[in-house]
Amino acid sequence: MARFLIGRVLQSVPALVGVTLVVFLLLHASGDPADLMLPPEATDVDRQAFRHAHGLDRSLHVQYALFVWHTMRGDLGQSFTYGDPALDVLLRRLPATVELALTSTALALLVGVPCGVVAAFRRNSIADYLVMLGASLGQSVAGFWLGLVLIMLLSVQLGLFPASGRGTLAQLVLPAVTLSTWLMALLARLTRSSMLEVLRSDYITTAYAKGLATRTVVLRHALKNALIPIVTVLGVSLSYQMGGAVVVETVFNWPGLGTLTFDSVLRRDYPVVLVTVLFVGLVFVVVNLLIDILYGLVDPRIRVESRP
Amino acid sequence: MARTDRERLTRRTFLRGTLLAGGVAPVLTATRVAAQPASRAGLDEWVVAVSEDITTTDPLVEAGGAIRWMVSYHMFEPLVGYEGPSFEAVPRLAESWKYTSDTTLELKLRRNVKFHNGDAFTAEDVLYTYEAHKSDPKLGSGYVFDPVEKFEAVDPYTIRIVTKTPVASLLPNMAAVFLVVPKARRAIGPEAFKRHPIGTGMYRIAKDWARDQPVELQANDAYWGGAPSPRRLQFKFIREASTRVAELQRGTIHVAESVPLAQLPLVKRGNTDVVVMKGGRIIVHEFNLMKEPFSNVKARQAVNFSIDRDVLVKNVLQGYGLPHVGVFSPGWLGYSTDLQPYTFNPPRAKQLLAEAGHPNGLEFEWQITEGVYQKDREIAEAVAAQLKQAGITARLRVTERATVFSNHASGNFTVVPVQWPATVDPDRYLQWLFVRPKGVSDSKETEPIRQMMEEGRRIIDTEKRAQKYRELSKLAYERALLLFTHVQDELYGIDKRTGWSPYPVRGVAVHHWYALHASIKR
Repeated sequence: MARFLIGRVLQSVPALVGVTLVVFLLLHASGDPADLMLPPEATDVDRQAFRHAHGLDRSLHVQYALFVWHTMRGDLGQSFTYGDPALDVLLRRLPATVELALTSTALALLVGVPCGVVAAFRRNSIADYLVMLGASLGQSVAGFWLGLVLIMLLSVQLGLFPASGRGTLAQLVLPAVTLSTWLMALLARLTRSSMLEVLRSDYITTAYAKGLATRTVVLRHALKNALIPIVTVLGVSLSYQMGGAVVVETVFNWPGLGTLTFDSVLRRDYPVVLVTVLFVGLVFVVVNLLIDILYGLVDPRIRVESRP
Repeated sequence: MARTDRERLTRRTFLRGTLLAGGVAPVLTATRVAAQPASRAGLDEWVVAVSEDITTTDPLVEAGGAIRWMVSYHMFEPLVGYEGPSFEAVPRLAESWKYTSDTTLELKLRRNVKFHNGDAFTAEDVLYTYEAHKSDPKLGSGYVFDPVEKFEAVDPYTIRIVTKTPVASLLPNMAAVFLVVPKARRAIGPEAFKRHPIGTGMYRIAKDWARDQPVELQANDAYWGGAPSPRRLQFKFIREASTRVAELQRGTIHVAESVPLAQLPLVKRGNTDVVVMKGGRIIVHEFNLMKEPFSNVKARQAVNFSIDRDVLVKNVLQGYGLPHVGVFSPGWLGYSTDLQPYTFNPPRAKQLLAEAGHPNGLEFEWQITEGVYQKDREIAEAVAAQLKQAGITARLRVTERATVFSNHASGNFTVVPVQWPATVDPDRYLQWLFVRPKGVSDSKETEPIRQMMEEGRRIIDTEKRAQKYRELSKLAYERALLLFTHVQDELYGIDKRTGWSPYPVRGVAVHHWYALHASIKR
């Protein structure tokens, strides 16, 4: 197991280097931070001094090598915009992102999976049709539009929830619902199809033949076996959400990583962009690792141990 | 001659000071009365939603944009402000000033002014702020202070600024960038100062500020100009325009900055309304004068004769803008109403194209932005359709704003958009247009323009300077150095109870960042 883990971590290093290198080159190719960070009135001398102060007047390979060297020593640079260490800027936004990602994922899981189970179990019933219609809508609707509609209806018209911001539970509701919709719909569809496949298996027939209660058959035998694709989707989705949800954060003025990354790219705040890219890369690595381990728990036939 | 100018200037300064002292007082009184209904309606706290992140409250940390400036401006003050109905120099922390020679400006500081922490304001604070600007390129204020040879305190209440050459833009540029920060900042350190900024302004910080949080201010009862209304003022960053409008409709914010045209019907109902800063931002498009086809004046004129600007303003901007005539916008120094506008005249454009050696029309690439300015893409598409009628094909390339900036500077463009907000002094705008971009600055076409800019910079007399800029504008316009389209209005959503409106300048235009300050206070 330990060998497996070490192997996986080592495998992730080239991926992280690759991702940061690509982002670094794209950022540098697309514009000069001095143009964006300094007022238009700034003189060329000011611009040159700014570039020098941030090491932007060095050649690209030297800048990237320095970034890698400093990162290895735990120094991720300072944000051009905020003047703070880039890692601090990321950590400041991280709680909001974690809060929104976990809540919306939990919401999607709590609603999507039971809906999928019901739809599969009551195939071709009204319940199935309603779930599938809802799932189709949920996957088709644009998050931006849904967010604004929820604001207009539930916030402006009915005054039930705040329209934006973070801090109270009420402020979490609309962004979490908006963000969870797509995943909820996906999970409902996925659970339904996966359950349908499992429900046709011989061991389910056997379980019924043994006289087990329907509830036990569905939850213990069918659902557990249908979980593999759900766990995969959940993992990938959570990884994406940990990188921030730009659209939902924008609509609800949620101070998360998505808008931080987006703004930092627009401002060419290289250190913040690179630290968020590194972070998201790491999240993907760790979550994928966890999924692999979870597979083994869900299905004992899958072994993560290396063969002797 | 110089001496005569000086004498006249001194008299003018004196007269201006006297008139303003007499003129500003009634304005203060009048608008305080106007502000009372809002207070009676229970609006003693205003929340202003701004469209850009507030990255710091400390004017000495980074240059920041108009938003950061607007927020800081309520806590800090310049020595001289450019505001009021006539948009001229008004005494703020300096109660008077005069040029003792063409290169020496003396400012008498206001006495009995206290910082929010109780420290007295003196020349030492001005020197501290100046030194910080001088030594930190991040503040991007070299354009103000590079021409300065010496900056000294004659006594605790007199500052003398000596420039290497006469610099007419010194005072207006200082007003735009130089907010006085106490030397006590050094003692408490920039980190503590960021959280708890201390200025002399009419508002003081109400609650220590933290990043990603609103800036909460309260009235400074000890303010030398009298305590302001409303009593509490909050600046809150809400990125998305639709969300700003929704919050405005809910009554949780009271002024929303940058309302998009599409949202106007929502804002213009119930308790909310739209207020307009007429002609707040020039949007102009720069030709690369070193590249075919626009190295030829006739090709440039042909393009300008192929645009129906009235249609753009009426149909695309819903009337919220002005056709752009001349280099400046109404209200700016050097704006002239005497220019003969380029009318929509495709036959004339075709004739000019033929004379320029393009009898079968021409084609060019036009880098445009999308969603950065009001209807930027739609305007470009409408112009491209109009150009077609004269046989001109514009290939539109939507380009990200930062890339546009870089391409503009490096000359990597054929036509590229440039914007500039209503401004105190036109010198930097002109530099941005005619000095900064390669493909323009290296063209012989702009040599006389740059010569005029140089002369304009040295003319201290405002009227003579305005005349120089009028000549410059005429030349640049007639030679079609730019692709002229429109000047856009800046739109704000308000809670009607505030009674707030942007500040009019010389009847039409308004300075972006003074707007909130001036109207809230006065």
